[in-house]
Amino acid sequence: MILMIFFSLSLICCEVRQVCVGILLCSLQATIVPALDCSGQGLEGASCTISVEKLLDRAVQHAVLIYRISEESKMMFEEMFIPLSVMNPHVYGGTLCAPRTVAFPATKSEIQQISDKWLLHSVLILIQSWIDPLADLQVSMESYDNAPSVLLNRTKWLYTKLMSLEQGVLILIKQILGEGGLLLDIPEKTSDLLDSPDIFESVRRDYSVLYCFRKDAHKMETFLKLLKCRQTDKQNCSVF
Amino acid sequence: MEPILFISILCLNAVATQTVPPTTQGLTSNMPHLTGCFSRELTTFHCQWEAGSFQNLTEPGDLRLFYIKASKTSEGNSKKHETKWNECPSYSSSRRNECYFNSSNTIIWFSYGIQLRSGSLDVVYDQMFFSVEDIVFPDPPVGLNWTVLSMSSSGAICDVVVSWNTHPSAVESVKTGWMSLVYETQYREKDSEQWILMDNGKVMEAYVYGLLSNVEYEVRVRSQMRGYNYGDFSESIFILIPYKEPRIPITSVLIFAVIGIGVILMLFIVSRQQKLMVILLPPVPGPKIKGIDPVLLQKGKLNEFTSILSTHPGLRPELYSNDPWVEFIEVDIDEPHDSQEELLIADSPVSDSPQMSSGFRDDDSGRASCCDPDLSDHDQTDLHHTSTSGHDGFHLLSRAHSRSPQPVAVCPQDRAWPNSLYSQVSDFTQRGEVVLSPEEQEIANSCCHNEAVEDNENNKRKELQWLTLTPDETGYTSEITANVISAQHSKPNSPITDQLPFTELSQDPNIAFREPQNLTDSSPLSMVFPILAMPPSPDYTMGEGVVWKNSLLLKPNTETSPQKTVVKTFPTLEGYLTAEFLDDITG
Repeated sequence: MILMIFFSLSLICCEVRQVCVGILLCSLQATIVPALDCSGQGLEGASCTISVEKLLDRAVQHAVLIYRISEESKMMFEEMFIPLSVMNPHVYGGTLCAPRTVAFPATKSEIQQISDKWLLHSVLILIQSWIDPLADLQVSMESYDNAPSVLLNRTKWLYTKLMSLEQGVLILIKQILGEGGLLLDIPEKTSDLLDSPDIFESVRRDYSVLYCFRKDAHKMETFLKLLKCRQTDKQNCSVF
Repeated sequence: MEPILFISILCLNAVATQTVPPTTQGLTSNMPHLTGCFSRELTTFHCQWEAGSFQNLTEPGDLRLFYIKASKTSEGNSKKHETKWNECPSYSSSRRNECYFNSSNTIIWFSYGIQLRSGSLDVVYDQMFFSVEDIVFPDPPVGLNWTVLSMSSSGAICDVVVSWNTHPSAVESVKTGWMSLVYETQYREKDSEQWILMDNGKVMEAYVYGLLSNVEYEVRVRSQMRGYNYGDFSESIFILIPYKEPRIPITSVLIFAVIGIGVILMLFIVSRQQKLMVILLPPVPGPKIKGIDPVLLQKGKLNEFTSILSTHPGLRPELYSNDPWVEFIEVDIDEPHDSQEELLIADSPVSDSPQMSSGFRDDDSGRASCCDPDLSDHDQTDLHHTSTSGHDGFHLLSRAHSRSPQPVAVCPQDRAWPNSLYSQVSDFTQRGEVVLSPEEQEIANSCCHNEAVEDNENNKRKELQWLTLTPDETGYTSEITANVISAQHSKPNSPITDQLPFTELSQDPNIAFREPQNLTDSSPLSMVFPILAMPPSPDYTMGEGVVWKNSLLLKPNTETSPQKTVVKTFPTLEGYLTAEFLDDITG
């Protein structure tokens, strides 16, 4: 199963239009894939898993790519639909993005002090909170008249990649924290559903989704990178 | 309604506030305002303001900065008075009008609101909202230096590598993965205004290609947290590559070498012109008769030639009769003939030479006497016998008319048959005598090019003309063997007609030559043996008995000749054809 998941990860990776990053990911994953020499059938007595470093590498690459694509999607959306930066997300007092029910570590010092467990869980909660809004975003954007297909493809890609990342993080939690490390705490849906046909509202909502997702993607990427640094070189990464 | 109001509020707020860069207002010069908030490494940040032109606010503490960590506020509500504003945690001691937020006070991925208030906290001069990662301006890289990567052979263009290091403040962040910095390099010629941009990514070196020597360049680098703002530019460095004269002018050496080789080749060609001509364009071998020196022909010593020929046992004096005789058969295109019999019967004998001779043309240039074009009686009977006997080597060349009523082509007769020394042998009698066959190849060739059918027939005719006199005569071997082959071809096609010409011949003993039968299929052979399509050498011509009106009428063959679609690739004929080769061709 691990094999299939990460094989799917690598396959999806190679469909990305971002040639440079895609090639990077593909090349990195291509180097990783041959290292898998087990059938994944649960052979007794044979350790048939990918090492944590490689898993983390893949997760980091996914997060980096997701962040870059979300950044580009947001910019593209801005160019298309948001004229002259009228919508300043901070005008609302910085609450354009829906607040979290779970308190995340905020400052860097806090972040560096929290344990791996909380880092992973934070990432997982973040990912899970965005899967549904991205699905809604896809539906909403398809209802536009002049949404460019590139943008639609990117949102679709983000959605699929986020799902893959979720799978990867779950596996990481199992590997790093053991079997009982997963806290099932699915956040409630905070996205308001599509019941307002007003185009302005939908544009605003979609833009807020993209903006906030980009911010959280950056967060995910940072968390995973920190985690990777900790796993590989514990001494230097703990000091801030 | 509500959205419109919302939009208007947004617009007002957008005009009023700005995240980065610092706000620019109409009353900037007078009122105290925030000049901006900056973060270097996503860990800490600081905000700066200016007092403006207010004189009573120059004291520290007159202006206070308040921030709020904007959290749960209802959407659409930009007022924050209900939430608690905190004062700046630490006013910077090193600089005036700056508030520093340390790492424990810096909440990343979170929106901040900053307000500049008066000392008495009652006047809000300025405010701004931002998120910390949006105000990250990384420090510029340090330690720029350049090295020459490669230089062109002429020394005018070279490639350079520029390398740098991250700023000390960002080193830790980048190492731990907290920040991912990418770099952008810009370079330009010293005096130009346009910078050339290069996006390097995370690599801390830049390859600049195509820089000119003796031109000074300016290079600078800046860093960026990916997706966010660019930092300041680094210090510019200047690149100047001195121009070095190339030690070895490679291009000139190459040019001289090429010219020298060309000159040598020309000299070689000029000096060895004759040999090269021989090698490249070998002369076409002329036809040869064994025992006869072609030099004699060239010199025009016909008497010796005649004597040589007369001593040959095969070349009997009857070949050199002075009677003019028709040399070759002229085919009359315009006159369809039903059968050859009537033509043959109506043929005048050899003695009717003027009639016949007019029909024959000959462009023979070397013969003094007329060869005997006709077969003598005994030769004809011999021919008949030999044909019936089925001599496999030399068949009576019989033609089968490919198309029944179609007349053969008429060739305009423009050649005369002079007395020739010799003519080509058409057959051997049993006694060993040579039977000459008329030559109509050239006539057929010369005149019948327009019509393909006639051409084919003529080709067929001439192919049938000659038999191999001697096997190793290259000149005629092909023709003769072609005739043989064609005879063999026609043989199965018209077995019945084989006998007919001989009967006709017997009826007309005066006809010196056998009636050549049309080849049923000759086009492949004519294609195969191109020499057959060419007129033979003008040393002699072959004459054949001509029927009346100086036209050779071929016996119509009712059978339609099967077109031989399969054309075998025949090898070039050198020497005579062996029996196996003949079998290959016919089979």
